[in-house]
Amino acid sequence: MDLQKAMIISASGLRAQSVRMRIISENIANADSVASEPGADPYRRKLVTFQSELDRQMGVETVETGRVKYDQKDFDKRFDPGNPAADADGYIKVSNVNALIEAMDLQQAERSYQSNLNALEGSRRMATLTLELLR
Amino acid sequence: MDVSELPIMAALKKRLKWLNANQSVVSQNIANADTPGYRAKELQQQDFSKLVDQVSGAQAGRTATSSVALKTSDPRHLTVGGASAGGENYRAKENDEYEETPDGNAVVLEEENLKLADNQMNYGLAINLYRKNIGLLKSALGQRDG
Repeated sequence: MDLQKAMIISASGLRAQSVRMRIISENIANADSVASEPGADPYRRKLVTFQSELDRQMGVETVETGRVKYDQKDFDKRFDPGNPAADADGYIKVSNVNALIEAMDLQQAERSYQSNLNALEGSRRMATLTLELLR
Repeated sequence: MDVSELPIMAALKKRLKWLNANQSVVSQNIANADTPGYRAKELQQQDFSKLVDQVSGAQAGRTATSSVALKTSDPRHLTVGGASAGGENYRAKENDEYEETPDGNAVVLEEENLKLADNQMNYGLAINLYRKNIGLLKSALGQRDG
């Protein structure tokens, strides 16, 4: 049934967006992490990837999250000579997460989630309308 | 007499089927609104007004039998009663009129939401027409409520 397909697609969208939100939360939570010892790396920003996937059984194209990738941007450096993790020049590596970018990304994810929810609600309402023909 | 083969009922059934399929396509676009390289798809429009013309023309006219074959010149055309002209009446095609983000995604979320609302309105309309027709049959049978 087509409406069921529509709901499955919307559900896949919701799932994908919530994974994205989880990754963003991880990034924000670890935004202030620093290296634990000289030479070690602090938290590296994670990136979620989306790909559309054909569900052959249903004949629909759902969205799936692919492998989580790491941001290749260089780590930021902060001057903190007293820190035990500081290198010879007195700098420590801090994570390459930009809180502002994450906040924007979170908003976009929220918007997409809302749209998927809307679509799901619409499909549900259509199914209800059809069922009401029986009354 | 098969109720669902009445011209108007058959036409509405086709319409509902199309709207169902359209809902899937729009949902798919929304779900893939952040997928790199995905382009919005669109279902080909049904030729509903032509169908209505043909149905009413058939009723005014020549043959009195219930199985009226409609003239089709395009596989997308709707047929009433018998088999449809070209199997499925709808085909999703990729839409390339929209703006594209740097990652190659061409879905405009606002546009899709608009289509979703429109689809639902049309569905409500078709369902109500269907219901009214059932009511019509019911009053012909002598039942007042319906």
